[in-house]
Amino acid sequence: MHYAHLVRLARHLVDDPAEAEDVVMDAFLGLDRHWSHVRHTGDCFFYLRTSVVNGSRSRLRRLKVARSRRHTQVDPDSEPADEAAIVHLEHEHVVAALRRLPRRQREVLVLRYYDDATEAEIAETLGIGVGSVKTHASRGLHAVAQQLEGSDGRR
Amino acid sequence: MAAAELERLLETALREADAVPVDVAAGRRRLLGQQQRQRRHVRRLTVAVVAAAALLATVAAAIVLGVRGGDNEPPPVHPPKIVTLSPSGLPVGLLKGQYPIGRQVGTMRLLVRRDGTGQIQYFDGAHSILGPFDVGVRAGAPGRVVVTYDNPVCVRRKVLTMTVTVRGSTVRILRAAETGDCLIERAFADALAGTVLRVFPIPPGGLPQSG
Repeated sequence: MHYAHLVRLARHLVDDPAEAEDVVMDAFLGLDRHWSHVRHTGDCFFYLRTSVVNGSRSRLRRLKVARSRRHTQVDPDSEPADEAAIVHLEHEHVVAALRRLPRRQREVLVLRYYDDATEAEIAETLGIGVGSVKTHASRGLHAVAQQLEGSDGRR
Repeated sequence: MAAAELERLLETALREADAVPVDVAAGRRRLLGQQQRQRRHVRRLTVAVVAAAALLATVAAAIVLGVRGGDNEPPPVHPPKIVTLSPSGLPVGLLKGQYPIGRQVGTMRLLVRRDGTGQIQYFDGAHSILGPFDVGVRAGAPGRVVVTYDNPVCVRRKVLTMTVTVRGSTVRILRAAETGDCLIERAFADALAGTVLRVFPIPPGGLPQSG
């Protein structure tokens, strides 16, 4: 259950499905090595999530990923066939906007809106203060909103 | 675009990607292979530790049973209570529990229905009763339950996030956080950690308006 969720989380952070699985694999192996330091089994998920976020950051830095648009290519001239397609298109724009954010803002928004992490948990995972989490979240949301309004204008 | 609307859009857009399958079986095989290589040099030590622990547990159990030799009656055996789980992972029913808050003992009631809707009500042990309010109860990350409240007075829909374990008809809240700064008071969320909720049938008509 944790594995599938963490792979999906990593996909939102590194864009590449294969890299996402590698990141999660390394996280599980790291947990296995440090199992004696885990105080409560309930903390495992939080340990794994932190490892996934840190691992994703390292992968991106190493690969110098120009954020792939292969999952989010949208043809502004195409005509959606039905309402479901319109919704899907809107979601693609949202994900594309998210991937164009600065790394920290993206991490905060993904942890908050995909992982349902609280501000305190995000702060602990990223090693920053709660105030910084709020700032990154606010700026990230504003940036996403601006990008969406801009893409609406181009349609 | 309103903040609440953008938040809802972000949540649904990110979760839409969940439709892409994850090959858990392949991941498990790969992880097992790497784990075996990693663990080979400590396998003997692990076996020895486990055997010693098992022996210790056996001796301890024998001592405990010996001390309790005066109990002539075997413990009653009850069939496990069958519970139905809602999509959130919580049992369907009325979940009730008490929690310490300051010098008082508060009471929490969370009504969970099969369709993901519910009600929340809590009493702070003194004089303040909040609710019941109609809420949504959904699954978050693994082991996580999110309570949402759709009301324009709250900027954010998520009003309470709980990390829980479910064992039969018992739910233990490992940690909780109020995330909306609206419906749920922070003191209440902070006090919930460690609270055990037990499952009862849903009362006709939902939660009462008072007490």
